[in-house]
Amino acid sequence: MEDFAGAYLARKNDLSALPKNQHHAIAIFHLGGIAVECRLKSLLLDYHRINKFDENSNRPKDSMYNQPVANPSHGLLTALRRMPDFYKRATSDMQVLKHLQTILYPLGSTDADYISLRYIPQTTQSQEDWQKSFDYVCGWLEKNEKTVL
Amino acid sequence: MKAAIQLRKALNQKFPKQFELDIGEGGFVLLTIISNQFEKRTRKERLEQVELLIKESGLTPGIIELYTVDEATNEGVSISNTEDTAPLSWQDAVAMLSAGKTSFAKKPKHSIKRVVFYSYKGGVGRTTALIQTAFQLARQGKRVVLVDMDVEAPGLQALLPPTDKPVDEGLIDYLWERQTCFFDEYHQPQIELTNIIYSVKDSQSRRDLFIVPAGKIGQRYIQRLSILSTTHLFSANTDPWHQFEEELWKQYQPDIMLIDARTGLNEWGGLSLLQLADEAFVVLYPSQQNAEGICFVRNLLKELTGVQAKLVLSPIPEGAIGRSLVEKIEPDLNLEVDIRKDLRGEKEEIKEEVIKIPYLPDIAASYQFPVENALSWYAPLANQLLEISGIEETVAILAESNRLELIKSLSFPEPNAESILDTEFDFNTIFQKTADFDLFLEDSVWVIRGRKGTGKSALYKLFTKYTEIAKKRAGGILNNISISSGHGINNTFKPNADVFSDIQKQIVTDDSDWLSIWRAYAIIRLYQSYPEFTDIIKSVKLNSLSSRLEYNFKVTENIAWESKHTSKLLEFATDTKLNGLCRDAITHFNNYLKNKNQKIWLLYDDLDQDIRENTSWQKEALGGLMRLIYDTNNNNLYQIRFKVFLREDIWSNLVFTNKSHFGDARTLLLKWDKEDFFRLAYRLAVGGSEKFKTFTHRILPLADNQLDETNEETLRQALSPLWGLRQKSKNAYVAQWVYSRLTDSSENTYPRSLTILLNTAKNVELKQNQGKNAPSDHLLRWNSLTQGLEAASKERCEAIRQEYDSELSEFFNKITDLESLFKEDNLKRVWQETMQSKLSYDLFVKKLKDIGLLETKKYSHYDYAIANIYVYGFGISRKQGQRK
Repeated sequence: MEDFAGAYLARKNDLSALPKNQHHAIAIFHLGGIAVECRLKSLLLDYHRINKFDENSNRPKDSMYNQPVANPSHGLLTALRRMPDFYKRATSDMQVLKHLQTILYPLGSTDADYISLRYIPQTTQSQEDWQKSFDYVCGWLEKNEKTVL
Repeated sequence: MKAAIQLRKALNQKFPKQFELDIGEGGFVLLTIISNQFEKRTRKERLEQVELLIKESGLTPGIIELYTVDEATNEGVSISNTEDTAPLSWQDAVAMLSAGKTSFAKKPKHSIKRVVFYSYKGGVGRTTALIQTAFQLARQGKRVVLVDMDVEAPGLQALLPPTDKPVDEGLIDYLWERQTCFFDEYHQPQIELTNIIYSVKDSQSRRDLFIVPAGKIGQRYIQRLSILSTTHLFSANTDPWHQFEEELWKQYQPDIMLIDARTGLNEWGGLSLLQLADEAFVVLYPSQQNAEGICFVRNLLKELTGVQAKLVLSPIPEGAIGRSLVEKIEPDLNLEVDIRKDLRGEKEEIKEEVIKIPYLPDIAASYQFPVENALSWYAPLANQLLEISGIEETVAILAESNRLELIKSLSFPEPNAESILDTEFDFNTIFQKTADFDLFLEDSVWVIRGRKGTGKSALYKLFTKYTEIAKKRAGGILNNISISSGHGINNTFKPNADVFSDIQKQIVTDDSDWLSIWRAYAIIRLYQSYPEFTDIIKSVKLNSLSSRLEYNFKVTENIAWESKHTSKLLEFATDTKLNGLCRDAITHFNNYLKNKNQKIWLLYDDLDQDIRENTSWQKEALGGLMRLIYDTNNNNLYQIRFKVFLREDIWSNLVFTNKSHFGDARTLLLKWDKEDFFRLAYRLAVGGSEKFKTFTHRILPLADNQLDETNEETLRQALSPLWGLRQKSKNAYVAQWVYSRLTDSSENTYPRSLTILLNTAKNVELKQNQGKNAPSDHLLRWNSLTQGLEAASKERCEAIRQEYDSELSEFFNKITDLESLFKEDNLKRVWQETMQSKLSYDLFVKKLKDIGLLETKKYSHYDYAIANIYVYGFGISRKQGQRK
């Protein structure tokens, strides 16, 4: 079983080890996206009360109840969609969507997503702005975790 | 919401079933597309295509994932097909709608129509309306089930309590068991449908109403209610609610289910409206507090499921307060308004109907249903439902039938007063019993007035030529009465216009009078129609009279009126002695009839033709006849009665002594009102075609003797298979349209015009394609009707032209100088050019109004209008005008 919760914390730690400047922006964006990915995956398993992906959802009042929950891989939006209650909250709050977009496409919507950007040497995209988005998304997930889960 | 729908449409065209779209707060688009169209394109290129669509719909591009099929598999990205879900809650509904999704529910195999009664706040009379409507429907023959879904405050069973044992279990218990308990061969459901349903009998119709309460309030109920998960009640076919409906259908086959919904924006309220409603009534008290919420709900429902909920204002306080409340709230209700232009180019605004229920003390005070005194207030609700079900049935039945054959089989009489009444069959099936028919039968009615085309001649013919049928229709009243013609188109032997003219000249010379002429003429008729008359006058030795009658007026075939007859007639009137004998003859005959307890009616028609108009003596001539009638009555000669059919405007211009004695009780104005008109239309359609009769009886069985008592709503419904119920706009009725278009400015309708309209419409319809575009619930489509109207208009214009040719022909020739709506000046100008020499302006205007051509407009930019029915036929151009 993969320990996504643990992976989330570990990646956050890695992030904090990196110098917070433009030289390392790419690495920060990459690792940060992965951190969020892990966070969402761990939430996804908890949400449906399953131990691993492809098991059937154990969440009775949910519309996905008894249906298999597939691994969303790098699809952050997909991961969120597979948690209908979370997703509902997200769609009602424009801010979290905007910030999530930043996490998904740190270099702008027309460019590579947070996985593929590792092949790009440098960027001028502001690391500080990205940090704000990252903080918002993580904080939002934590806060809503209580009521949703 | 519109933007979302637009975007969804665009995406569906480019990437059918390959995307998942949601729209967050602020128009933020969340979109995932998996399509091989993206093969070999960079992200930028892919985005370009898609962002354009988003921007076009006015939304904000948010998180957009664009993958090829392979990429998606690798990345673990997928889209789910959530197109088919119905919303489970208000939140779901709103989310769906903002994402441009709609939810048109799939219908289960059975066909119980579900009508939800909803209110935003409680205590407005929702449950009352539901119950009263249920009784109305039951009395119209429907099998009705009432279901209480006001689960958090059940009350249906209190208002309609069971008569045998009290309620123990209800809907909640049933649903709970089906959802939570385990069933196998050893463990079967304990709560069956029969445990939760009971019936109540309507004492008036002897029919049952079936009631499913929510449950018995108590600990067990609360517990089961809280356990019940609404998520899995409706979705799958095997879900508890559907099991309930299956069983309900199998055991009771109800026509209609009335559901009492929860108030407000909560789970159960949402469920019943969003998941279940085929139709909905939204009940609200007329105050601001309610308007907003109601509008939101109605709009949501309409956009999402297509259901147009109907508004019911209740309870409305009495008097001025209530009226002002209603007025104030109307603009906030977002009523649908259809705007159409009529034949004249006037804009017509037809607002959505709002049903109004006043505060009814009878209801407040009662604890038993139905509350009979207050029942009629709820008729509109029942009628709406019946209308809808009527249309649905029609569609179903029409789908089974051969449309073309049905249309071909329609047979309307040729539009001519003569031929309408040629056969006995026609009379029995087609002749209209106007509300005035009964009045006509009164002894005391002497004059029957009416415009041309209102049935005077038809009545005349009915009574003189088809007396037996007339007697049957009169139901016994005419049993001792013999009816014959005093003068009319039936008689081949009669004085014509020229003869009357000659008579007039002679009267002046001989210093005689018209009364005597008419009396003498009547004597001739009596002589010819009643052999006993001869015996009587012989027996009282009125020899000079009897000998002359025998010599000159013996009845033989094909005798024509000759000048010798004219001189004899004049002699009877002028010669003092003979004149006296005429008087005596009448008196004696009257006595004879009195002894035998018999009466005679002499009917006079066609006098408008035969006594020339615009002669100085027309009034005298007719006045003379009137005086004869009056005199006869005054001399207690009650066994001989006269009835004169006369054109309305001639009558009103008539001046003679004792006209004041010809007041309301003595004359009868023939007018076809709306219901008569509808009845005629129905009879024409059904009488002419056995096939159509069978077809329409399957939908609304209406026996011939019931027809005369039927009200407007039922008639409209009965006619809907012929020409449809409502127009394309949903607020106006076709029948109403037809009626108002065939009516002139004095609200006279022309039955003849109706037959023309129907004939033409039928012929036009036959030329149309009867395939996919043909209407599914009626035979004559709108286009055919409008063409029929044009033909009817032409005929009417021809008729009015002919009728008033001598007086107004110059005007008619220039009538196209006027438009359909115009100001005083225009009319004055035309008058100056055409009629100034003949008539004063005021008389001119009066004449046009009298004949039904001209209407005064009160609240309009324009002063006058041409009556709808004449606009097309005269070639008058439509004005782009506005009402009010």
